[in-house]
Amino acid sequence: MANETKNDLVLTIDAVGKWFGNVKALDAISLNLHKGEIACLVGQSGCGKSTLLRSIAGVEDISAGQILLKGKRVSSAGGTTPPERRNVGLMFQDYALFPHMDVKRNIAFGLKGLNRQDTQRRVAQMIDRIGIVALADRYPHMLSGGEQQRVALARALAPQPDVLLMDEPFSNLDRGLRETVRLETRALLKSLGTTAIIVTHDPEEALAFGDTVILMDAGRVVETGTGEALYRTPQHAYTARFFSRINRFLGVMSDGRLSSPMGTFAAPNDSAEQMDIYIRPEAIRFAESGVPAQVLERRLLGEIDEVLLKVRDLAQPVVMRTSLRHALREGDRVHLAIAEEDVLIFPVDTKAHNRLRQVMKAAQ
Amino acid sequence: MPAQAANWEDRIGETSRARSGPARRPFRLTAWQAVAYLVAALVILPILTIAGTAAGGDGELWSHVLANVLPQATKNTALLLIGAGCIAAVVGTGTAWLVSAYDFRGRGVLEWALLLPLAVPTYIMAYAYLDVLSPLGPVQGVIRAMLGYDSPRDFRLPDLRSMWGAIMVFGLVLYPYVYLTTRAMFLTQAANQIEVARTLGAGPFSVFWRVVLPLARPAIAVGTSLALMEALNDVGAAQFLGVRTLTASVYTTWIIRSDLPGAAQIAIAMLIVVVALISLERWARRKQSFAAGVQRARPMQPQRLTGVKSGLAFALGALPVLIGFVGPGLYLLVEAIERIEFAGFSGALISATLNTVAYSAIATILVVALGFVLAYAARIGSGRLTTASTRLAVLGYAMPGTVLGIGILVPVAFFDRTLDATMQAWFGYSTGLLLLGSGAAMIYAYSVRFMAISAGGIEAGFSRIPLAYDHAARTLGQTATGTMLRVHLPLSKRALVAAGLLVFVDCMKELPATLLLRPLNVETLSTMLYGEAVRGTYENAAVAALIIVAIGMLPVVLLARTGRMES
Repeated sequence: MANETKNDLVLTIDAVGKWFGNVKALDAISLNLHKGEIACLVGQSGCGKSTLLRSIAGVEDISAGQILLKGKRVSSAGGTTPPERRNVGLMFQDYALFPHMDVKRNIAFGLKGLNRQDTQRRVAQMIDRIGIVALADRYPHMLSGGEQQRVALARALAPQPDVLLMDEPFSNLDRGLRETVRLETRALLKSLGTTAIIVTHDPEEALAFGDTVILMDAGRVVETGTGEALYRTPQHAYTARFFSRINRFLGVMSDGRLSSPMGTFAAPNDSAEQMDIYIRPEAIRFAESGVPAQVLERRLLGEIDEVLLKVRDLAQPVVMRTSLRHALREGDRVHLAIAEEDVLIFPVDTKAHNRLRQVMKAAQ
Repeated sequence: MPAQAANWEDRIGETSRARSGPARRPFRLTAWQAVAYLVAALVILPILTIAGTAAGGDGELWSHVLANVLPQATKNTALLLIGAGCIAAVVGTGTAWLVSAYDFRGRGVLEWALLLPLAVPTYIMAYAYLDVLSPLGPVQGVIRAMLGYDSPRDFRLPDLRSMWGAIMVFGLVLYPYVYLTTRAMFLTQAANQIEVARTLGAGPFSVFWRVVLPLARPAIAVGTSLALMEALNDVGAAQFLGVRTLTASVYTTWIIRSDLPGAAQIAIAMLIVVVALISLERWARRKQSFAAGVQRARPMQPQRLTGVKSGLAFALGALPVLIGFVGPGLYLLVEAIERIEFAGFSGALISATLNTVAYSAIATILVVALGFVLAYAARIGSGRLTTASTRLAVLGYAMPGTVLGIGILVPVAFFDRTLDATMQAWFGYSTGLLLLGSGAAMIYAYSVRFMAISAGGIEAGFSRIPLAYDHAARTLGQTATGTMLRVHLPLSKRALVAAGLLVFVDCMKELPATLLLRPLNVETLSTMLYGEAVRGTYENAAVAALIIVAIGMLPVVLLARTGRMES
């Protein structure tokens, strides 16, 4: 998106805050969304992502800041433009199809200022595009979950909204179906050039679906970027922890390098005396020489194996994932090597350490 | 209350459908089923009796009833039901929408206050307003004073004793049934649909007409049919207001003309109306169930109103409460205080209160116990039994007290006479009218009428207990009865208490069956009020009415609280 111009900007969220009594659901959130961009709001439940989505839709007031749609202010602490005058599309987890209308009438609901013929043509177009021709005359209760999802999508897209807002749109689908529908939906949105925000709690879904991924925690944006950037080079420990499983070690400075039970690593320029070293399970591999370890357990996860390893005097086993089928048995002695470019180093997260200590204590 | 009762049927329908898989039910217990069949038989008996009695009257009588009584009474009943139904539907839906879609000063109070008219039985409402709105009463006095008239002869409002008056009185105390069902629907179902509709460009009015009203239609129909069952049951208000309905005709044909077969024939006509109302209710519930595809129930986001608009909204919402509760309540309070200052608590009043409490309490214990058995039998029993007994329980609830009275009086009197004759012949000892004289017949009538409330409430409590608990207890070696005692009873204590409260209050308010089946010379609060209102003596009636309304407020508080918890 190097050649974006100011006119491309569809949505601006500017220092938006939302308070429920003393609870800050949204805390100084700022975001920009450009035409045709698909953004994923991701985070644990209660992080404020749905509240933000609902604020953009205009079904929720905001307490501070402002929201601009195509340069026009639609929400501020002073007032909220009602949702019907925003030209946004909204899709719910449960689809919220109108049970008293058939598929055609559901899709036609949002079409305004068209005569009958044009409405019918547009509905037929939409039905054709989404591949639900056979369902046109059915009522919502006669449709399967996947079919309802498509109808809800068609209904939201029919009036050509400036932004499509989707709240956990795939979480009601079975696992196998979910992936197919997700791919189809993304392809459709891209082919129509739709600007969209989807809310999800699923890290994989966020990485796979969004051009931009926005990670939220406790009402704040933790980090924004492409899925690639958030996964490969997270700027925050929370981001690293959210998107993948990690092994955490304490690194202590000695001779300009961070030394840890897993070896020594180059210290960042602003390194403190102690730093957290995050190593992903897939960054560890077996080698002829390196960190000595003993196999505790091997689990088959399908395409990959997960191996639990005992390293020196560490209380926690080290987790490793590999796609190579090693003939390992419990008690085998091995050596581990770590690709240094895959190691993530963050300031010590005392909160996380304390939590870990508590868990350990409870376990004893 | 009755909304719960009717809900029951649905819930059971679902679970039994879910359970009737290819495998036979793993657990069976015939003792539970036997009690359930017994309860069902108790409900069927009065209905069979009415049919039998009606058939027993000679043909000449039939043609007399057909020609002279039925057409007028049916027309009156139809007009009253249609009119009151429309008012209840409009006021109930309107107020439910007002407090759901808008946020204004005083909304929290209105949310529960709108239920208060439920505490005022129709006959008390009519009784109070006849006095309040009489040409010599306070309202007309104030209007005359404002307009500058001196005497009632120069200016008077149209007489309340008319079809229009009756329609208003019924509509304004029965709207909470519609309010209750419709508001529950708004709280649990509408939010997502409304928000989607708005983002698709529909403004508030368009949303109301195109989405909210069609979605609410089943809930409105359920509430209205419940309200109309109540209206059909009424005997006092119609008589006070001079409207000859079917119910009033049954009563006068029987009591004044001593023509039991004639009364039974009119009662048959009423049963047809009852079946029509139940069918309406069932149809609406079926419609409702297909609409319920929502997983995350979320109350809708109300629109905040400020300044004049907020005041107007409150005034609009407060109006039905004023007319349906505050007005008659204040009137009764003032009259009761005057009466007590003048005459104290008379002995008659005290004995009527004690009678009311005693009979209601006995009936409550019986109804809750049987309701518990019925609900538990439904839980462990087969789908067919369940459906049959619940349908019958709902039929019992819908049956007007007068119809039930006839249906019960005949077999009970027969039993009493037979027993008496037998005892005299064999032991030379007269038992007299054992069931009628002891009030057992009256308690029987209460049980049939209010079984649905008790069983429904308890079943609702059971539905929150996962079936897995039953299976866990049974696989751990408990029998069905043991499981009930050690799992269901402790877990549904609250539901039992709530059901008991609802039944108690309904027994206490009940007029028509009490009037027909009470032992000679026994007065309850409701029959005392009725007697005085009919004689026009207005002595202790205000105090009796005030006691009924005051106790009647208890379940309203309960309903308001559960309503808030669900939201």
